[in-house]
Amino acid sequence: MAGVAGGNDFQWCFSQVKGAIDEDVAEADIISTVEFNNSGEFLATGDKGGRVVIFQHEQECKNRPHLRGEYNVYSTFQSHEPEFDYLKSLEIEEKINKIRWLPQQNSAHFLLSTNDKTIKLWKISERDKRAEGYNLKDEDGRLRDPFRITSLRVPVLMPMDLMVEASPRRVFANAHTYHINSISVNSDHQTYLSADDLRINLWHLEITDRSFNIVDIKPANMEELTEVITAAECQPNQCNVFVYSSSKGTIRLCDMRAAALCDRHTKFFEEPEDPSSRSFFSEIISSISDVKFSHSGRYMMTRDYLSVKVWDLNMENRPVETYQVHEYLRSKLCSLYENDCIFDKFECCWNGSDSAIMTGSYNNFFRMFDRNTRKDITLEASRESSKPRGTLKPRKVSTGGKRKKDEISVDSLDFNKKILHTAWHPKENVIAVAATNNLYIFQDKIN
Amino acid sequence: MISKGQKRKLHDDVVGGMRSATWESQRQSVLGISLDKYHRGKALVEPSLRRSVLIANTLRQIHIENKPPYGLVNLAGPLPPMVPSNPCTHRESGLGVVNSTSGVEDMEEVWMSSESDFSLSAAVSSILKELDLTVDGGPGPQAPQRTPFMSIENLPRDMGLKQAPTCYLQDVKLDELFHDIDTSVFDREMGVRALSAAASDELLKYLPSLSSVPSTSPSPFSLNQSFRDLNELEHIMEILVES
Repeated sequence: MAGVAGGNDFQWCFSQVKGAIDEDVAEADIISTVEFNNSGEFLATGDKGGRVVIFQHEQECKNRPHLRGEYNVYSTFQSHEPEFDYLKSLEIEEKINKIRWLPQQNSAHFLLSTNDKTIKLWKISERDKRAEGYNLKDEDGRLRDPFRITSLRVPVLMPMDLMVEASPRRVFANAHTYHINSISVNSDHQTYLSADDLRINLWHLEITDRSFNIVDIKPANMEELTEVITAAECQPNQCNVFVYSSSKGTIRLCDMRAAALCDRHTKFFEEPEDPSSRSFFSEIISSISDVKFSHSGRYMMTRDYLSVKVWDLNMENRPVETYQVHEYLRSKLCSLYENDCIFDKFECCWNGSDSAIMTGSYNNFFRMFDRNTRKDITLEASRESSKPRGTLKPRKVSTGGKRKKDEISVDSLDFNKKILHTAWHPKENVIAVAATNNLYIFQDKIN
Repeated sequence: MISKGQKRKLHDDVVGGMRSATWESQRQSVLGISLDKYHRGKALVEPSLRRSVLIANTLRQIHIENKPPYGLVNLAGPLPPMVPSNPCTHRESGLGVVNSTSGVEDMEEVWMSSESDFSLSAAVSSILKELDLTVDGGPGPQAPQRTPFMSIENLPRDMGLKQAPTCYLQDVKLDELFHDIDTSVFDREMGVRALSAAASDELLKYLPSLSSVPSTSPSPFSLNQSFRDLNELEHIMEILVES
C-alpha cells in the first residue's frame, strides 16, 4: 500500500471539502452514507433528501506526482422520493440509508441505493457522442414536415460535451415491513442481500418481483421481542456465507448451503460481559451499529457505542482486538441516554490492506487505529482545522482533572457534530469523512 | 416496634452494593427517563424499532433489578433493622427503601416490590403490545413533532401538512392501562385502599400524559406524598400488628 513503506505513521492532509458552509444546515443536506466504488475512482454520497452525489477522481497531475487528483462532481440524481404509507399512516423517509457499488463489468457503473423500504439499482453511464443528421427531425428535435423531405441521409455520430446519465434500472420494493438497515452485494455478482430490523432477504439483481427470505427473527408474539438485526454483510469471497449483527452485541454467521432459512446460525460470536462494568446501559452500548468484513475475508470488525472490535472468524468466544473509541463517555452514559445520543449508529471501515481501521466520534472527531503498531490517532473534520494540503493536527480529549493546552474537555464536546459515516479508498490512502452536511476528503502525504 | 439507638451505618449502603442510595437514585432516574422516552419515541415520524426495543429492555432490566438482591426477606437477622432517627423521614421512593423494623420492613419491602413488579411488568407488556400494533400495521399513533435536543439524525421533518389527530387516542390508551392496574390487582391482592391508591398514583406519575396536563415533571419527593406514605405506613403496621 502506497505510503506505508518505511513509515508506519500516516500523515493526513486536508484535500477537499464539499458542501455548504452555512451555519444553518438544511436537514435534507445531511449526508447519510458514503461509499467508494471498488476501484476508488468514484465516491458516492447519499443524503437525507434522497439524493445521490457521485464524485470522480480526476487524473493525477503528471508533473507533480505528490499531488493526488481531486474528486469532482460527476453525477447528481434524486434516488428516492418521500412516500406515504396509507395503510399505517406513516411517512416513509427518502433518506438514503446505504449505497453499495456493483463490480464494474462494462463502461457503465451500477450502484444499489436504499431507503427504509425500497432498494433501487442505478446505472450511471457516460455519453460523449450524439447522432446528427436525422431524417425525420431537425437538430432541435422538432419533427420535419414530411413533404419537405426529399432525400435520405445516414445520421453521423458527432462528439459532444460529456454527459453523465443516471437511470433507475431496477426497483426492488415491497419486501420489507421494517426499516432496511443494510444491503450487501454478494461475491457472485448476481445476488445481494437486504436486511431490516427483523428479516434478511436475498435478491437476484435481475429479478424484482420476488426475493427469498433467509433470516426471520420476528417472534410470534411481538411482546417477546427483545433483539433486532442491526447490520448484515456478505462474506467477500464465499458467496454462501454472510453475517448479521444484533442489538444485543452478538454476531451470527450463516451458511446458505446449510438450509433455505438461515435462522439457525453456523457460528455465534459474542464477547462475555465484564461484570465490573455492568450498568443499566450495558445492553444499549453493546448494540452493534456496523459490521464489516476485512478485504481478506478472514476477519470482521464490529462497532458498538464505545468501541471497535476485530473478530477472527475462527474464534467465536471473543474478539482478537478491541479498540476504545471514546471511553471517556462511559461516565456520561445517563446523559447520553437522555439526549438520545446513545442510540447513534457509528460506522467503521478498513483500509485497503486491512492494516488500519477508522471510525467516527463526536465533535467532528474521527479515530484511526493501526492494527500493527497499535497506535491510534484522533483527527478533526472541520473548516477551522483544514488548511489546503495542511497536515491535520492530532486532537486529544482530556479525561483527567488537568486539561493540557490544545486538549478539549469532555464537557466541551459538541454532541450534535457527529461523524457517523466514513470511507477509506480501497487502494490508496484517501479517506472520506461525512460531517453532517459536509464531506471532507483527506489524503496521506507521501514522503 | 422501632428500637431506638440503632442506626443503619452509611457503609452498609455501600456494602449492600446494588442497593446503595446512588444506585437507587440512578435506577429511579433511568426508569423515569425510559418511560418518558418511550412515550416521546412514539412521537417520532418513524418509530425506530431498535430504539423502542432497547428502551423496553432497559425498563425490563430496571424491573428485574428492583428485587432485593441479597434476599433481604430471607435474612435470619444479622442485618440490623433500618431505623430512622426521625420517624417522619420520607421514603426515598415509593418503590424501595422503607423505614421500619426488620420484620415489617421485609414484609413491606416484599409487598411493595411485588406491587411495583406488577405495575412495571404491566407497563412493559403494554408498551410492547402497542409496539406490535404500531409496527405491524395497526393505526400507529401520530403525535406532534419531537422536542429539541434529539440527535441530528432524528430531527423532525417539516411536516406542515400533517398534524397529529390522535393525541386523544394515546390518552385513551393510557387511561385504559391505568384502569386495568387500578381495579383488578390492587384490590384483589391487598385490600389496602390507601396503599393501592398511592401505588396507582406512583405509576401514573411515571406515565406522563401528553395532552392537557401541564408537563411539570412530578417530583417523587413531594411533601404530600411523604405524609401519605407515613399514614399508609402506620396503617400497615396496625394491620400487621393486629393480625
